Amino acid sequence: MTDAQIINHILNGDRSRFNALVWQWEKPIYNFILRYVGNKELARDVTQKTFMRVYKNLSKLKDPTKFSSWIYQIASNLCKDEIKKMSHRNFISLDLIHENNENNGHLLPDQLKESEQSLPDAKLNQKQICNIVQKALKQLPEEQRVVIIMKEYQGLKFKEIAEMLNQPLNTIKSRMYYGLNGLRKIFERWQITEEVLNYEM
Amino acid sequence: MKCNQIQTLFMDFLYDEISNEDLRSLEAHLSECGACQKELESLKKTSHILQKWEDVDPDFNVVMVTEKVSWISRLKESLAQLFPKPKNVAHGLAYVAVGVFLLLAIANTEISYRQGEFKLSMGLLSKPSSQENPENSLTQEFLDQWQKENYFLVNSLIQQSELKQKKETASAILQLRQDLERQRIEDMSLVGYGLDNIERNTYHQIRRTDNSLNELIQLINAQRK
Repeated sequence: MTDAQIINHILNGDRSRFNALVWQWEKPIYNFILRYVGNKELARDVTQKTFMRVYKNLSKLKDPTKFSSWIYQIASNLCKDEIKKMSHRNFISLDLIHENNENNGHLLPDQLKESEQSLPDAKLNQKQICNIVQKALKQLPEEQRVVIIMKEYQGLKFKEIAEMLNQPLNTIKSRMYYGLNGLRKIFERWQITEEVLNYEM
Repeated sequence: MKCNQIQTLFMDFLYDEISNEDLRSLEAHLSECGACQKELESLKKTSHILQKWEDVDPDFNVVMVTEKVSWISRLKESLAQLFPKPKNVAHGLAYVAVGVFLLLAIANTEISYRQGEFKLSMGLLSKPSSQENPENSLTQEFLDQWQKENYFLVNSLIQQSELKQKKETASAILQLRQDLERQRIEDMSLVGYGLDNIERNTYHQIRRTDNSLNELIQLINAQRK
């Protein structure tokens, strides 16, 4: 059954069908949010909030076939809000961390330092890889990070991302390009290459 | 094409969204430009590194409170049953307002305004500090005054509502009494009418019996003679 069919059932009064929607979407949405906010506990809260908001506003969704764009839009808005709240709370913005790293190229993630010391024998497990990539993503400006996550992990088309973020198509593509280039430089600085990761696996 | 023009096609190419026409120009450029070739290759590798971070299963269940809506609608239904008439709803609201006033009064609620800020405090929750400047004590005085007025207002509201209720009850009883009286008079007149009828019928019957008896006596007398 497609999302649109499930949604029509729900809107016709069969509220229990919402579970089907949750089962279908909780994994992609949780992973999207986890990569966006970079924190498991926060990702859990934001995922919960996303589905609550979806449930509450489902009747406002005009075209059920656009559910996928709509739910990502809700999730990314909530992530944005949380990051804003977090930066107010800690008085450190992600951009600031980014600047720090630009000035000082030696700020390596602890996990990486450990593994680097014992290269080439050390094996990077999935958890370490995820830590490295997560830390690298966090270095990027938020507007680039969200495009990279949507494209690289959620497999959305550039056109869809442009619609979701309400930006021109070319802006999205150039954010992707600059984001990917930024990550390339970060990985180079940390001496992370695809070969190293493959070898370790 | 120049390098910076070609670079705008890199993303389309990497994620398979490139048109055939663009692909041809890209390939033509790459065959001549080693720098762009190298850059595209390193971007592809970066994308592959990102792909090493795999999706995980959420270690929790999304909790949905599906009963919420039906619960509200049930509440609405029962409320509608409790207050079927708008007039009664208005009364209910008035009682709730009085209740809230009372509650605020009991909780010793204070609302103060200073330097563009409203402050709400409850006497039960926070006690005013003993060290206060004259301005504070003035405010305190004003608040005390305000609170007294509040008490008075709430009391008068309650009294008014009680008075109104009494009046309504009294008028209802009066109405009932009048209705009953009217009913009684109607009943009595009906009974009277019935009694009259019975009396009249009985009178006729007695007179007929009298006449018959008289005729019988006359007949007997005539026979004796």
